[in-house]
Amino acid sequence: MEHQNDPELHDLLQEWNLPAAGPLLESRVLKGNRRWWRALVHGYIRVPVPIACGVAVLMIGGAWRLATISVNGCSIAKLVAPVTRPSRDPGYVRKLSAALACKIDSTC
Amino acid sequence: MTDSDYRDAFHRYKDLLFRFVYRMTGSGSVAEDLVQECFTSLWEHPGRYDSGRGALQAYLLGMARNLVFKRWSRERRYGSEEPEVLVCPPFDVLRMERSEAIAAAVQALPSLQREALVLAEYEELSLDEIARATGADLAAVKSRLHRARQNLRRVLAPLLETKRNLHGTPK
Repeated sequence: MEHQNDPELHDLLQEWNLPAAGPLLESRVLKGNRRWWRALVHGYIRVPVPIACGVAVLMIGGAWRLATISVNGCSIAKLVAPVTRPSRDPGYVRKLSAALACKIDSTC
Repeated sequence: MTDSDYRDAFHRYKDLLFRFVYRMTGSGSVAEDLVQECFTSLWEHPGRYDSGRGALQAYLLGMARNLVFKRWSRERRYGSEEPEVLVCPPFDVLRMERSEAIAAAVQALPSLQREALVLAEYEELSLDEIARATGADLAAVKSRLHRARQNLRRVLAPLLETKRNLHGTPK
């Protein structure tokens, strides 16, 4: 230890004793962090990696399923008109709407 | 950092931090405020502590030290222009209680000398640990400690003399 460089001074300095920290410090520090709004702002939870991966896979699968879910037995993908080539024909939009309406009305 | 890690850290280091800040600032209430600030910061930003870069003790001491200097700079009690070689002024230690005189002598040291002395003499940290906590290099810590001891020997000479006479230690 470095105080061995000057034991005489070290011994003298030890005569300066300090009062202990007040008992309120513990409650200020440990209970102060338990205020509910602090947890909302700064709180976090620990999740094991396998569980986090499982939840992520489930969420992606759920989102995929939702995207392909059938409406009245028809898949959303089937309801979308197969637009392969944009047309400048003014009647094209009208024809497309009619085709879509027909598909929705039919039982596919 | 889990709740129990946090509690352990608090119980392990609160007294060390309290004593350090108290000896640096000379105020118990300031010490309590800054210790609370240290632990609140540790709780709110646990990611700032990188265990690979050193012990939690050095991290907390470094944080406490920075808070002390920040407070002084707000109160304009410390500026980067403060010379490290500053010699503290002499005062009449024989008119004071011994413990009071020692406290006053330590308080009169320039800040950087004081922190090195407090960590070495009172907390018994090694030079390496002091260097890590204060962010200074080893040579600077050695030199500050040497100057602090020289200053204290000079200011507290009458007390050292009395002590020698009491114990009959030869000069």
